[in-house]
Amino acid sequence: VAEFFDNDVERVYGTRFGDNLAIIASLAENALTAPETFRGVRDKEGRLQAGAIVHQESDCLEVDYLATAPWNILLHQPESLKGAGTSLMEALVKESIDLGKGGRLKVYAIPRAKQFYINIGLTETDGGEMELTPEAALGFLEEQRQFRERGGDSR
Amino acid sequence: VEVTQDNFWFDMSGRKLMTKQLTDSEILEKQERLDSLEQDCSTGSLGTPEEQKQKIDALLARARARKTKLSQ
Repeated sequence: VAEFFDNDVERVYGTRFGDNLAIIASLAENALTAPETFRGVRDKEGRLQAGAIVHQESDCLEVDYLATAPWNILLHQPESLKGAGTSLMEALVKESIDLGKGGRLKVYAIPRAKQFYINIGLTETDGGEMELTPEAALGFLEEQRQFRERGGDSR
Repeated sequence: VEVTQDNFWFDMSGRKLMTKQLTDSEILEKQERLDSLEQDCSTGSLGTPEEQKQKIDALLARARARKTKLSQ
């Protein structure tokens, strides 16, 4: 806030960084009250790079909150890591498969995040949430596998 | 890309999944696109603007307190 917003917190509200902090605040609150719902990915140095709060529905794994670390929002931060959110989504798809839900996920993307999930393969439903079907889930996992296989991953 | 016998693939149970294997450049392009979008990957309820402000203020206050404690 000091470096990017001249220490003026008023300028943070409503920005990409502000949205990220608001979600992280809710995520942290849930992680403290129900730690079993928390999922996260760490980098090679052990820093938490993305986190989520999930719960099981009868037919899918539902993602209540998901956020990348705040330093991944700001430019040129030494801690930042590309692909943390994608890696976390991959782990959640695998968990959904392990739970017998075929990779099916449901998320409530904030408006500015919808395109990210569309690119993963989620589709928007009439209810406003976004869903990953089993077919799209397997397609996403296969793309990630192919990406790693071709040496494209240092995460 | 035209779908042929050679370019669709199956999962372990033999179910047809996609219509083609992606080329190296297509895979990299998709990943670069995902990486570029990933700053905006938040999910969950943002709440009202006032709720957002309260959440952010509380989070920043905790972060400041932690920083102060660590520096002591």
